[in-house]
Amino acid sequence: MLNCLKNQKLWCAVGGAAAVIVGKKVVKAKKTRELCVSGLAKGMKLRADAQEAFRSMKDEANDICCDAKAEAGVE
Amino acid sequence: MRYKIIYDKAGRLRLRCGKFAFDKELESAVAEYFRSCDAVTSAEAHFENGGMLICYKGDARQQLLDMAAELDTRKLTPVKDTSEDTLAKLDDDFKNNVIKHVVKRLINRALLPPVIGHTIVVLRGLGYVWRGIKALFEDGLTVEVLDGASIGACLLQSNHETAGSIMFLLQLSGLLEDYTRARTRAALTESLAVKTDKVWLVTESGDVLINMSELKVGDVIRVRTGSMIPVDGEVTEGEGMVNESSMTGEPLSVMKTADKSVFAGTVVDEGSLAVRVRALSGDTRINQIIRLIDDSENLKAGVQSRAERLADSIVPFSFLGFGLTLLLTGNITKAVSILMVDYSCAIKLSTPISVISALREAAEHDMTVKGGKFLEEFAAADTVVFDKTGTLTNAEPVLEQVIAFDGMNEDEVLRTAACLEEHFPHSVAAAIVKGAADKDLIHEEEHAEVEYIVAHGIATTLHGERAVIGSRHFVQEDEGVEVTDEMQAVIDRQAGASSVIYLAIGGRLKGALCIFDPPRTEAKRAISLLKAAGIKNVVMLTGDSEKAAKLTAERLGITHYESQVLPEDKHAMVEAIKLSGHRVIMVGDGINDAPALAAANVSCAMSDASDIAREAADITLRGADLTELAVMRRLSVSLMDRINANYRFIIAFNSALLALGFFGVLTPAASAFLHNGSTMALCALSMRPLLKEDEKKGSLFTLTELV
Repeated sequence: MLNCLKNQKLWCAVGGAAAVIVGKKVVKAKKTRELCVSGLAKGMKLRADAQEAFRSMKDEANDICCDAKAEAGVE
Repeated sequence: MRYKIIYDKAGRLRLRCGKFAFDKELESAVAEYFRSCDAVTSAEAHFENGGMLICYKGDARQQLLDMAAELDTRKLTPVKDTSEDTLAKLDDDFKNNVIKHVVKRLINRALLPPVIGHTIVVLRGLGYVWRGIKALFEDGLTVEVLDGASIGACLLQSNHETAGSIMFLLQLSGLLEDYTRARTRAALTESLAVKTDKVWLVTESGDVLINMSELKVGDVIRVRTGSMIPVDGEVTEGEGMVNESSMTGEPLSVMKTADKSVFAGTVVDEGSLAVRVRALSGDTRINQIIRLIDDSENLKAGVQSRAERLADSIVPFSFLGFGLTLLLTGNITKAVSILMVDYSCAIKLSTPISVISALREAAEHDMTVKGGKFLEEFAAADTVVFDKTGTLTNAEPVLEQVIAFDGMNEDEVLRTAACLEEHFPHSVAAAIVKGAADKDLIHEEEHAEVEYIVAHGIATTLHGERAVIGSRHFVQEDEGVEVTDEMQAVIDRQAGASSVIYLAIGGRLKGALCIFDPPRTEAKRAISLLKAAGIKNVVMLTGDSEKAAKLTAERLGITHYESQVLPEDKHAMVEAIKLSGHRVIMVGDGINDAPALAAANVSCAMSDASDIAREAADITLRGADLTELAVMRRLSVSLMDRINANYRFIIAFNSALLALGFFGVLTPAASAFLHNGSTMALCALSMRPLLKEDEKKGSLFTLTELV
């Protein structure tokens, strides 16, 4: 019996089963969901911020380019 | 709406409302809101930062700022993108997708731990392997099998880096191909869109001018004298003469009253009609053509289909090379290098991209080509057959000369002819009536009711005698009027290149009217340009007399002509030219040209051609300029040159890579990089315009080429 307890594989199996149960609880937990939602929202906000910054930079670069063209008499 | 002025200089205003000011779907609506101001020349809106760029003329700055302040995006509804917006969005999406792919790859490589990175590569690679296996069982040894095998071989060797590179490059090539296809489609739609922008909508409170895009099936619109009917529908009230020649080829206007059907593209010559919309033209023909180009395998250029077959047929040799290298060298790395390089991928990608780009370029030059194979035929043709009336001419005849017989003078002949002809809106009749008006000849109504005999002439009773006017066949043979040899000799001498209308009263020939349909001003130049571009035979088919045809042919530099051709014979003549070993381009405009257009290797209809001719034609020129035929020729020849040059490059470059891989100079990763990189570069280069700036219009060829 005691030998059984010394079996590494057994402990791995028990550990794995415990991990699955705990993991399932964690995934289903309200707190986890909240964390995921807020994480995703942050990600989306970050993306929107990056898009905004990139678009503004592009706009301003276009304006500079337009001025340069006007100065050179191209337009 | 609150905004911040970012840029404010004469004629250019950039405002910014910040992100979330409006959604992506409302971008076009916001731009449209500013475009509704007459002073605005262009406007664009971007949802990312709520930005608006408005270009305007004059002193409209304050007005635009007021508009921006009053803008309430909650009241806007999404509008259909203008073609300009669609193209801009496609460009933006493509750039964003490429950036996304590159950034993703860089981040994955720099930040992800190797274990996770490799797992992702393996999972994605298995997708390619699976698709390869599926293709192997369904279609045999194709390029998908080769892609799957090269990625699978790399994965087996645990060469994740190379497998990742191959997949990344394949994805980029796919993006490039999708983008080119989508852009071509958008450009085609733009070039084909009906340009009738506004229509009068009949409402209870009166007629209202609205945009064509706002029109719905079931609405009633008012179309007045001189306007084109923009939709298919039924007349609900009013009456008018409608010229349906664009559809039927028949020059006579038809009376339309309530409950009669009218068709898009026909013109109200006189009167006013209220028409209930049955089908919007945008929904029908244009989309049919686009679908046709998209879907039909038959319309692929022969060279494109050959390229695809060739690409797939090379695949077994790649495997053979892999096996032989493994056998001879025993070195799996060298063998995989062989698998990394193949000719097929580049050929299969660059050829359709070249063809699609050429189709797009043709659309940009107002030429609609219904498939790649017609470009190939256009490049290979050595003979052009022109229908004369309406194609080489504008079908706007003028009265050249009046010949009088039997005691009448010229003015009397013309006055009588105009008196009879004025009741019919035929182009020849219009020429005679105009000729009389130019001479200030006033004609009283002295005849009984006139009878129109289709395709022959007019008969009536004048002062108790039968008066007929029309073709020689009608007057001489049908009506039994004697035309003596002396009279005919006088007519032949004076008529020159003109067609002759005969007038007889009381069974005696009283006069002849010479009508000349002058060639288009650019016809001679267009023919010279076509000859300079390699067309050997230029043939004209006409119903005119031998003499008139000969004179026109000499004037325009036409190498061969057929006179007195009946409409139904044109088809047989095109077939005969083809049987004699020539490849024929047929250019026509009328309904009676449709069979000949269908018989030719490739056919072309002018912008003012009847709808049926345009339907039958493989290529439609939207401008009314014959020199565009030469532009099309140059475009098609350049396309074939580009495809052949691509072939040569692909074979030379990839053969070099194979040799270097075999001798172990290049690693599989380097081979894959060079191979896929060169393929992508070639695809990108294949998207360049084929026509140089100076080749696009008039200056297509230099004068020396013409001499």
